[in-house]
Amino acid sequence: MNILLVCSAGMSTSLLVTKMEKAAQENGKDYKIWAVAEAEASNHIPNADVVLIGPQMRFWKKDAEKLAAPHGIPVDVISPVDYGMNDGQAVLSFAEKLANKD
Amino acid sequence: MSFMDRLTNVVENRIAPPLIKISKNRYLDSIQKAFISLMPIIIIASFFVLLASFPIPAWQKLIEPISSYFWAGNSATMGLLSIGLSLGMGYYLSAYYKQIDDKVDPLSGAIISLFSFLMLFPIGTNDKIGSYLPADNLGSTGMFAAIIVGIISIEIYRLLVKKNIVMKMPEGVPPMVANAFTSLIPIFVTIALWWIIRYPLNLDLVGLIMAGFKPIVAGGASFIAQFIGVFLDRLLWFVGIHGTNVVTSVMQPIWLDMLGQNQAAAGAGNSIPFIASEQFLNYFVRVSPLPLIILMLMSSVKRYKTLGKLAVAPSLFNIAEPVIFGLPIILNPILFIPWVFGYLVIFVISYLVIASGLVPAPYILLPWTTPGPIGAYLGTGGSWAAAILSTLNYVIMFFIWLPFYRILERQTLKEQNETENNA
Repeated sequence: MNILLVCSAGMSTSLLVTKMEKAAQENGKDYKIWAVAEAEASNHIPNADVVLIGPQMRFWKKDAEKLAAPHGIPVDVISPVDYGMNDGQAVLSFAEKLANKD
Repeated sequence: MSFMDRLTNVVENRIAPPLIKISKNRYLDSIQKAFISLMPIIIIASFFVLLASFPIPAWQKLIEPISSYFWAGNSATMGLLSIGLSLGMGYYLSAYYKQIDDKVDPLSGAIISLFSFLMLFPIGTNDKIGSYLPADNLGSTGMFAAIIVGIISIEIYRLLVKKNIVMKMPEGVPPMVANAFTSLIPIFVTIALWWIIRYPLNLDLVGLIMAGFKPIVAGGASFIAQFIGVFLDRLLWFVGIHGTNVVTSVMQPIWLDMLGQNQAAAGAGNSIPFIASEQFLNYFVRVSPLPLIILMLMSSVKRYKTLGKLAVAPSLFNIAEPVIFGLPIILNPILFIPWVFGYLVIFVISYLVIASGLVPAPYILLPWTTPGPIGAYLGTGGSWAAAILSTLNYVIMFFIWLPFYRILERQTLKEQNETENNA
């Protein structure tokens, strides 16, 4: 599964990427997880299976959905609590749930 | 409803939506994306300035014979920034329209925008150098012209494509070739328009646009406008919205203009005209939450201490999200005052100190992840006074956070004890 994280500059979400990769490894899962800036997101969305947005950029969700809809890729905002605690496992499970809903 | 609920409600439902709507305006969004693409060029331009003006006597002596080379490097980057902006503007605005109409091609849009803009700069000839392009307004001063011309040109382009007023190629022509011809009529129309304005009508459109935007830039660059900008930035973050991102989309052209003029003044050896620049905000005002994190590291609340350890390294590079969402600062009534007003206090102090001449104004752009005091030192071309002011702001923020953090901590400890007693 390919998980794309998006925030303003792709910096703070990249902290979460490391934690999520670790959690995926512990679960024995081979996922591709990466973070980009909002401005570059349109080039990356087609390569993702699920798009997660940092809570501070939640106002961008509708635009992200517009970009993701033609590819049938689900989009959602990460919970502020998981984001703040940098909880890789929780966000990973959230991504899995989101991807398997369709 | 408590005061806090009411405040949150107002920010979330009244203040944030219009600001977000403005920031997502297709033109402002294209401008911002173009600037993000140009950021490496702006940073390189700043490094040329830094190398030329670094205040170590040995260095100055060493580079004296070639110091003009560094300024030349700056002129060929920052001094031509509007060319890049025109290109980026055309590209991103076309990319936006491509989402609606697949026949709009971003590269053609970039070409249309660039050559439309260049049409406004009459090429001159000179015995010594041959023909030349006058570069005076190809730097930051020409930015608004590049933006306006880019918007008008792309609007014409996409309208013609939409109405199908394009040259149609028979089937079987390779798409590369067909694309080049598709944009032929739109390019013809836009270039002809700007040619008519510049030559037969002999209008100095760049000069007119610059004059028109002068009051807007002067207003936007003022103490009060930037003060309000920081206030809105912090207020939006308080409800968990990326305030810096939103405010930047509105301020970006003004900030770039300020930076360009500040660098030009530094190059000419004049005093720096704008104090409240983006660099000022980055190095002195919107500094990292490190002071708060230091308090958390010393805390007897285990959760705060753990979060402090997690947040300290990113915070050194001005990444504040872990503490903003983790502590959290967002929607936390106790931390509202230090979060929103603390930064305004150091804004005013820093502005006054720089205006008084004790500390020079910054004019060199560094990546926003540069720690404040280092940014202040390098950003002013190596002023220790600037580094001290930035460090002092961290100390001031520490004492602004302190009483409010203590209240938060006491409250959390009380709750913690109650839960433990109940368990």
